[in-house]
Amino acid sequence: MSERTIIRINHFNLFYDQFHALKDICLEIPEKQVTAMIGPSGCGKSTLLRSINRMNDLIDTVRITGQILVDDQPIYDKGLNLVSFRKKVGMVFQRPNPFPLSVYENVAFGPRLHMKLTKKELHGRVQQSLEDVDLWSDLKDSLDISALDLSGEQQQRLCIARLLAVSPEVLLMDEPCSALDPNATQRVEELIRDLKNDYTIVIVTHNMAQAARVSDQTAYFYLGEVVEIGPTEKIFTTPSKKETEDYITGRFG
Amino acid sequence: MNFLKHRWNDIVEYVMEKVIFLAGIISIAFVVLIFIFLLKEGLSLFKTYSPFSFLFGLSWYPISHPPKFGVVPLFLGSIVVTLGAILIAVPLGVGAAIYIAEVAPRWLREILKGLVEFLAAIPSIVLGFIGLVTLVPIVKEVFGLPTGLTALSGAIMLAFMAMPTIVSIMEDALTAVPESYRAGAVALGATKWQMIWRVLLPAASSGILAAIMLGIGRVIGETMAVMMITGNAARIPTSITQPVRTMTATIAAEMGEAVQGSEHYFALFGIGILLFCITFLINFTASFFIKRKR
Repeated sequence: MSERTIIRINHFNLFYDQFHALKDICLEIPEKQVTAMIGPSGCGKSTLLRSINRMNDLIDTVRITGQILVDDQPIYDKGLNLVSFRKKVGMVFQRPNPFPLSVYENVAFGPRLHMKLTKKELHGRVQQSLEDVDLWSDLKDSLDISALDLSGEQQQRLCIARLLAVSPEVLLMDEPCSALDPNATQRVEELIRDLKNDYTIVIVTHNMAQAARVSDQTAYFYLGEVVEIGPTEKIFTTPSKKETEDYITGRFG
Repeated sequence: MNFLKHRWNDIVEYVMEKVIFLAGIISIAFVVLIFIFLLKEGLSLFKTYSPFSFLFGLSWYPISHPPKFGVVPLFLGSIVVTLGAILIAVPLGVGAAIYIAEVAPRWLREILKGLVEFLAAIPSIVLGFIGLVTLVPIVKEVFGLPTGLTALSGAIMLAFMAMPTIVSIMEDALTAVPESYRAGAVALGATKWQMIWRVLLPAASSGILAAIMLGIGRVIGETMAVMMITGNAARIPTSITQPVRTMTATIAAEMGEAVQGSEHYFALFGIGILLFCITFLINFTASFFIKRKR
């Protein structure tokens, strides 16, 4: 397992208008591991996740200070090529959001934007991506059906496949299982553990058991600050801060 | 006292129920009666004139001997003007709707939406009049025609009448596309234009088609303004820069001079049936697309 740091967050602050949502965040995220961000609602974990993909750019009132570096490249620099950056850092959302297109077109969406591929290469990429999320065998004969007709779990897998198709390095997941039933959740967690071999994963979750099951490193957030970060095993067995322990044992949150 | 009050309430309840029932029945009855009347008058033509010559006849000479009631030139007139209007209004309308819904800053969006509704509020006869004094001379100049009263002038003016319908329905359809599609596309590295073209337009496609169909419905039913500026020559158009006469304009222009109960009179109602069928088909298609969206 490599220990190279791929994402470095340096004294990062974020304001929604006057509200100070993220306070002086410093975090390092190692390559090809799963980093979980936990904490009560409104603690800023989703905001930080969205900041790593610059999705907060869609909101007018957001102001930031500090920097986030991905592969040592400062992503809040003016000169950043947002398009190729977002190709490298993909995002899975809370509710599966496949486009209202066919299964095939959903997966082909990213490659069509970023790569000049022949029909055959494109098809190969779509197949590979669907295989990686274990959808190929179920859907190989129904690539033409609308993605909206799939089950919730299949939709979420499809959304992951859609990212994999552009060969990202980092996958950001914002509570990817919160709209799924327990069995589907378990299977998607297995998928996350598989994906870790090839991708760096940052996952935001409300479900502490999930954080414990899938992650290597866990960060506990409270009121816009990182309270504690460390190996998941340590955070869940012998946290060094009292607040972390209170949250994890369910006394709070 | 209390007992009386109850009875009073019961009476009010009973009366109101009947009044509302009556109002509902009357509006339905009117529609049915109009439809029956239209059919009765229109179909009377076919007692003396063959339906085939009516539908496929190439000339409309209601006062020749024998009169000719071939609806083809009028039908083609309507089609040319409508198609022309749609070809102009759809690209402009789509562009305007995308700009209002996705690109314009919030303050400008509200102003533009207001202006589009303002355009819808201009009476069509006023637009027709403005068209007659401004557009018609321009068309005459630009194309070097003997007259500016052509299908093209009608099409351009009708495009402006159809625009508000197209823009506002399409804008609604685009705004109704879930935010998650936008986020998904942007997160995959799509530019704004790629997001609009590859995700928003397909997602809103049924609303867009409905907007176009309703725009067509608006155009094909328009009468007075078209009559003022298309030149009113009931012949088969071979080019968009010729005068044409639409079905609606024919009814409006000739109803006054047709003797009630004459063949000519029935023929005008026959045109009415044809128009009714066309608009019904268009509205039906539009509501099909709107329903499919839900």
